[in-house]
Amino acid sequence: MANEFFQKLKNYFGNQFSELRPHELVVKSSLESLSDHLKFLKNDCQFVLLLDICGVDNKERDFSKRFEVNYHFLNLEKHLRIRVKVFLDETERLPSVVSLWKGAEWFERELWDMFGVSFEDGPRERLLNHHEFQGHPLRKDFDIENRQKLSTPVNLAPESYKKLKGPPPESYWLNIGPSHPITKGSLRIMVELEGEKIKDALLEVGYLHRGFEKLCEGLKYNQIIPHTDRLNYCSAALNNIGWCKAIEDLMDLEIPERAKALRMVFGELSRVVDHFISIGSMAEDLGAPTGLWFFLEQREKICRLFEKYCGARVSLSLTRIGGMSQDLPIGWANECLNVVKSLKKSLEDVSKMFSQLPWWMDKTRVCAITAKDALAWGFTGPCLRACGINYDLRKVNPYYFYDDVEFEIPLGSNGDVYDRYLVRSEEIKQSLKIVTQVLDYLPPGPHIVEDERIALPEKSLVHKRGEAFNQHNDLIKYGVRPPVGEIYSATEGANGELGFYVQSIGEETPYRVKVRPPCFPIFQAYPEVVKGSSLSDAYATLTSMNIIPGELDR
Amino acid sequence: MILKRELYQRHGYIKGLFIILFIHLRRIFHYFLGSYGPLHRFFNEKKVEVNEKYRGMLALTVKESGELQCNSCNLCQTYCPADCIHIVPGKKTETPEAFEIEILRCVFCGLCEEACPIDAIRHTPEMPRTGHAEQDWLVGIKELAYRKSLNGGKGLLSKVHLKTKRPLEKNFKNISPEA
Ligand code: SF4
Ligand code: SF4
Repeated sequence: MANEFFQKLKNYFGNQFSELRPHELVVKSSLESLSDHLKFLKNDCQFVLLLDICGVDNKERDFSKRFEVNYHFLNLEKHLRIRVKVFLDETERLPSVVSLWKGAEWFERELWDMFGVSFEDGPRERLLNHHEFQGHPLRKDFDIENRQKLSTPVNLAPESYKKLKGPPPESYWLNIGPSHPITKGSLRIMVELEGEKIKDALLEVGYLHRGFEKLCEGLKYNQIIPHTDRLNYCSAALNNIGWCKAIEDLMDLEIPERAKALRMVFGELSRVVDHFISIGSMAEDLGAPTGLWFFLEQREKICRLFEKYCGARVSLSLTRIGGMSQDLPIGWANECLNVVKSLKKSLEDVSKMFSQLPWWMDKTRVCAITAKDALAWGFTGPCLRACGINYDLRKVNPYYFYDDVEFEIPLGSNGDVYDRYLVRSEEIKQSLKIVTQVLDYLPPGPHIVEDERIALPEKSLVHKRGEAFNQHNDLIKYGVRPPVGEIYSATEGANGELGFYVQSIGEETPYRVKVRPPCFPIFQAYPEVVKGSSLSDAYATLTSMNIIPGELDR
Repeated sequence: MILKRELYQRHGYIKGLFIILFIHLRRIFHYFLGSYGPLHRFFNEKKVEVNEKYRGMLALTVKESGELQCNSCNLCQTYCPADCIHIVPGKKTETPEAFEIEILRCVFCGLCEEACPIDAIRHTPEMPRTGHAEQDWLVGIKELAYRKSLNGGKGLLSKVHLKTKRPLEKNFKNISPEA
């Protein structure tokens, strides 16, 4: 079956097609045939989900064309990812793919914003940078030191709104954000209201844009780990794991079993924390503030566990390339099992407090999205599973020990706010189940690979000086050096597929890093989802989608 | 796994009211009995204990003679992801003339502690300081090594003994029981 499929691709693309790694295919395309190729991939090969569009500036390498654009697509049935590469010069224009994948719009805007790649069907607006900003920051020749003064806010509402004269208009624009209690950071929404109903919504993102990708180009691989904490700040461990896994896959490195198990434990605990905050803040925004306090109280228990392990409660930085930063302290596993037990008990209470209750259901059975639309926008994670599509990376491509533990993937049916709530609360239970199973059979052994080119030697040996001391110094100074190559590696984040695309040229810093944040495509669909509903439904939708600006704006 | 059918069926208002009332009454009961974790602690006005591993305010350790342990090797400066450590090496000795950390830039990640080969910089469980003016955020040797909270101003003793380039025997046991 898979062979037939590969044959089909080979026949169509000829020798431009190659299989880089299992589940990761690469096609080299050209500017003229790009549209045909993408149409073929979507219509004949079921690459229905657009994951990411990533630009690369090749100015510092001798390539004949300056820019490289990588499209990443996913085939859900066969679980294959394909990367379509196309090269172009500054003067050439790229065809737009918005007609094929709705979710491509923001990715294309980002491409223009960051690289100045222009499109055939006209100019794009900036997305993450301010609209007065000059230059394209991810180009290699961009001067970072040149500070620009940006002051005027974007005028999102149409001109006619500002000149209010005469009789009151039928509809009016309401500004939500950038700092609003319902946003977990800063983002701005403008809704057009007609009475209680929302007629239209406009979004502005980029308030928390910190230039993560540009920052990575100047940092060593291990130094990037603390910065990944700040992507999705509710579940830092999952970002750490995603980043380290990408680099390890690039180096073809097999990490010790204990490290794998520990990563599963911390990843799942982080997922639980993320879902706690998501459901809790949803409850608060829907007028049940006690709900939030219930969840924060439970979250505190997990934060204490984190603190005991690595010394931080939220920004954990607990992985290193090749394993974990440290081994478990004595007695940690038992304490964790106790906490899991007590969490399970109190979660029953909480689910009784919300599920099936008429008040909660009245407020949350709104703003549904169909599975087809969700795919077109590029949804992943709990929001996609709430529409009934069974796609979870932990099941379809089990990394670490996910195929050895028993757990189930909850699926909703309507794709509305209530379904997202149910899927999240069921996922918490499944995650806790995974934690118990892994801790019961925690494998012994080292927590990080024993390889002096990757992992720091043990501290007590370094203190004694000698060989280990030199290795320690070398590794700190020159860093981990993955081989020349590129990788798109995805893990299941709390909000969906968290992907890291990394290009390495064999140096101590990466050449290009692109994050595929799960909320980015989800938030893009927001105006369509809330159209026709009331303002309070819009609040519920925003929190149920769990939009985290840190990850959205990077 | 498709979610259970019952989860989509609404309770009536009266039933819902009783469920919520029951849960809240039970919680209030627990709360007064005093076994409910944080709330209990809040009302008993005990201090929230911070784990000793907590990655808080940084500290420089000292030798037995009271000098700084650091020998300006610059490894921590190289490894710091936030680029917030500034070291000026001494002119005659290895001991740095100035060692400054910009606390506002620091992300308390623990990488400097990991990078230092002679245990000269450490996280302490103290909370990072507060302040108003800019100079409060640039912390120098005096504050990092000899602040009041560290052994009453004498500074923390490093685990590694530098003269013989070997850790002290008894201290060494504290670091790793296997070695
Ligand atoms: S804790 Fe991290 S950010 Fe702070 S000084 Fe140390 S290495 Fe730098
Ligand atoms: S604190 Fe440690 S790593 Fe930093 S300069 Fe001093 S000796 Fe070197």
